[in-house]
Amino acid sequence: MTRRLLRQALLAGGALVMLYPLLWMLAASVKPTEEIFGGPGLWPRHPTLDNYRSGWVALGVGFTTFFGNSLLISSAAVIGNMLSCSMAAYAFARLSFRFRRLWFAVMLVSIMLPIHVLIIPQYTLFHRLGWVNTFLPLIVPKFLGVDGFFIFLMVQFIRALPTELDDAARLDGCGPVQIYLRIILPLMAPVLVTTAVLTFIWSWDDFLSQLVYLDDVGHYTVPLALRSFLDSSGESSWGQMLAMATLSLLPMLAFFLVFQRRITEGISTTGLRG
Amino acid sequence: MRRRHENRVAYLFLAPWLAGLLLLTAGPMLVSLYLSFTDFNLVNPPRWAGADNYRRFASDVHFQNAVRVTFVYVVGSVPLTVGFALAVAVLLHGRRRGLGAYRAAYYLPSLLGGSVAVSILWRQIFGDDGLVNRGLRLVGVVGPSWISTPEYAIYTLIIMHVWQFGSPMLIFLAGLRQIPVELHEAAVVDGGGPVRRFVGVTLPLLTPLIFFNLVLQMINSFKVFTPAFIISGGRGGPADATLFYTLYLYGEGFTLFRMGYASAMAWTLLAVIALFTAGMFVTARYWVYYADRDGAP
Amino acid sequence: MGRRLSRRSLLAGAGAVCAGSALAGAGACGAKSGSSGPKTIGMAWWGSTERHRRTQEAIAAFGRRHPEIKVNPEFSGWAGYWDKLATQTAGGNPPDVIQMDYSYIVEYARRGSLRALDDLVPQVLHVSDFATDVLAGGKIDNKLYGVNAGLNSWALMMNVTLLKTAGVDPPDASMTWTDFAALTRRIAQRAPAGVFASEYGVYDSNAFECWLRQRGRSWFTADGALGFAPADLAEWIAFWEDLRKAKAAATADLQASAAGDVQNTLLVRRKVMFDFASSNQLTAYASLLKDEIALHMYPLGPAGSKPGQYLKPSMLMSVSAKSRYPREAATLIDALLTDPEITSILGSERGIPPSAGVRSALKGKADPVEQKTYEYIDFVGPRVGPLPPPAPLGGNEVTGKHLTFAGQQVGFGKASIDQAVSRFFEDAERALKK
Repeated sequence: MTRRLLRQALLAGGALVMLYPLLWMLAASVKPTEEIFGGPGLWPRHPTLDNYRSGWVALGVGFTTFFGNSLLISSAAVIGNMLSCSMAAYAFARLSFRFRRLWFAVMLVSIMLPIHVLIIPQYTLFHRLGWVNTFLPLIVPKFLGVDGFFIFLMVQFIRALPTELDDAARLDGCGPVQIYLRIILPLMAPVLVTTAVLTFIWSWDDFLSQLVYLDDVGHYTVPLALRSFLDSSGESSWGQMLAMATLSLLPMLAFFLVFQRRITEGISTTGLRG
Repeated sequence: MRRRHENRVAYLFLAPWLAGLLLLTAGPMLVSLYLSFTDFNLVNPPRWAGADNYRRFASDVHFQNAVRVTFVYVVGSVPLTVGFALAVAVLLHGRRRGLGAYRAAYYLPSLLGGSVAVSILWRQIFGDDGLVNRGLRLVGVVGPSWISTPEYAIYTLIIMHVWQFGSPMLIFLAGLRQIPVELHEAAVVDGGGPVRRFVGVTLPLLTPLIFFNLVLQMINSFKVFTPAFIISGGRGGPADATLFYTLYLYGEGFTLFRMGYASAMAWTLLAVIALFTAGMFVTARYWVYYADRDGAP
Repeated sequence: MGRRLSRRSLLAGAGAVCAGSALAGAGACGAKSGSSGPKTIGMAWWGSTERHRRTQEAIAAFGRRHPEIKVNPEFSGWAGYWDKLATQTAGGNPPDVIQMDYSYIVEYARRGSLRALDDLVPQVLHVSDFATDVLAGGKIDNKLYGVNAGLNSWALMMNVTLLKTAGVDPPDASMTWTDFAALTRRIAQRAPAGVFASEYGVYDSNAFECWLRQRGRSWFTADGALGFAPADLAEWIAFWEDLRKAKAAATADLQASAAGDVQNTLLVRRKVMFDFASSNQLTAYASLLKDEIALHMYPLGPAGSKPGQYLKPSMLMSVSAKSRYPREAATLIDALLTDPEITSILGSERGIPPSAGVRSALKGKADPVEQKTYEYIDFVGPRVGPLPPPAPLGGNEVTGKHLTFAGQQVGFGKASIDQAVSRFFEDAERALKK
């Protein structure tokens, strides 16, 4: 009994530590700017919703557009990743083919190079395709499996699935495509959802690519808009930025909360479907 | 006959990834490899320079500092992050009510990433009169400004990395769900206690994901970049104490217009990461259990 | 077998084509030539919400005035602006009008990515009421690469409120470095715990430059070498070490935590009473601090010294060398800096207007904090020296990275002053050799 209480206490205490920055952001977002950095106290003396009201329209184009753009890009990225990475992962994990090991190594190597030395050649490429100032450079690569992280993750997942189900299906006359659609994909639900959550969050926050490929403020994403509030060479709009940043956490948190349950409610591996 | 067919099907499944590789990734990668042998200042066409860039490493003190700082970071952050992620995932696994809220809370730091809020917060905790020092003062110890003292600054960043263990935790949660309930029940019937069950049933089945998290955390720690902006404004201070390898590379390439040198640094990093990753794959043979291909990697 | 190879070689070929074009880098983007219709130019600037709002309004007013020119704004915060500009430049797609910073303009101009504007003065760029020195701020190798967009000069930010609580009067305009040392030592005895008189300015490249100029030296000579001797640097570091040890200047680790941004500076965090900054930062400082802040010149040299400060551009407006419509780009710049209606929309937000006419028009409309800046610039105007020659390539690295490293090594006790100075000179020589 006491062990459970101790565990609860530990978990709750840890959770509070994790939550503190959010509390700070929330408190700061309702303070006027000159109180945010000067004072020691956490809580504002005269809380105001001014930052939220003025921050929403501070860039001319409202945050409705920015949230819409971010949602569009991130959702498309999620679909792209789930499709292309699961296909590649299935091939690597379950199929045998020439050069499998070589391609797998190449796939891993492709995520070892820092983006800073790739961004200029990539930008040149997209510029020649005429895709600069569109969402295409942020979405199309996801449909072409550039996120080796998720391919590798799914490979590990699939390889942890016993092969008896595959064999049984093959005996029943299923080909590789059928096995992928009917056996592997359903069993991969937890990792597919994990991929969805992580892709959504990481593509939402992908500042450098958004910065470089989006010129028009009407195309801006939320992170770009947030950074436009801060000018370290001059005056920054801290209150407004923190208010919008707090709001920006909400979609990601919501996505996480909704989908994390799907991760932890998997399907039993016994029994063959279909 | 089936092999031929499987070959074709396999390449069909690989087609999107292969297309992405050849059209979007391989080109830029090869270009950057070429640039590493040139002098490229971003504005004028690159000039061939042979292995000059690579030769500069030996005399570049800041390069050597960056290597050292990054190694310390990798060694410090990877085991701790994966360890915490696993421990918390085990604690938060299951369907009891309220766990979802806890999972969100423990994931939250990862959502905040390298945001301004975190940088201010870190200063408030590890700064000159931050929470840590105030606590130390209660026991009569006067602490330095942890985030801006050369000896300790990197450790505050390691702590920050470990604090953001949400993504590996999520992966472990997914993996834990994968473990069939029947196996657990069988182990209970066999008379194993919870620890025995964990070590004997859960852990071996989690090894593919433990391996994954170790490898990817290692790769990402080698490539670490944003935390440096959090406490030193991106200058790698104080006195190079937070000069991450990729930060130094970025400074050389974008701020000082020496993209050739930056590319050489990038490819050297790639070689080192590839070496360590290959090493990990070799050790995987001995401790990672896959359910297919009879456990062979 | 044969079929598979050909598919792969096709894909490889595509990859090679892409690699090849990525390599070719700067090339003409798909330009629609000879289209009748508005000429489209892009303008890039950094700033915060106030600047974004005003500049977009100014662009709209410009559009009404010049319907044949369409301006596409590209704005961002400071973070990432230079990364994006570098990427666009390397990728062959830079914006036509570029808001430039004094420390970056040399790098871009000397590498040929900015267009010289001399041929557009005075027909397109009506800069006749820009003082010669003001215009000279944008000249590199005697060509005009950027038009000064705001007057700026170094300023010591003083927290008058904190000074009063320490029972000290703010210094008058004749304060020399010696006076400064004495003043800060006096404050050290009365300051509350954890508060220092001054920031640890040993690796502030502006303060060092001021000090050098007062002694007749400079950061760099006109032919790109260092303009001072090791003994100068050693004396400078020793000066600050004395102050640090007397607790008149902040400790090294506290100073190191004041990285970059205004909200991190020791003055805003109320840890010091004097911060070495620039006049155009007053608005930023004042917005973050409730205390009263005043501007003061940097400490003067001993009697008979040359002036240390000069009027620096707070930012400049440049035209890309690759711009297809340089006249139109220059027309926009001219409007932003000299047109009465448009400058009134922009206000003094980018700095004190460089045009004398605009200055007198806007001074009356400025808010109280901006008024202080106007008065300060009026005050220092007659007390400044000539502009130094533009920094050589690699200069940024020397004044930033290497000076900071030297200062921190000594401040943290990791090297003696002599060691730090000789390491600095080695590093600087290597950086400037390129």
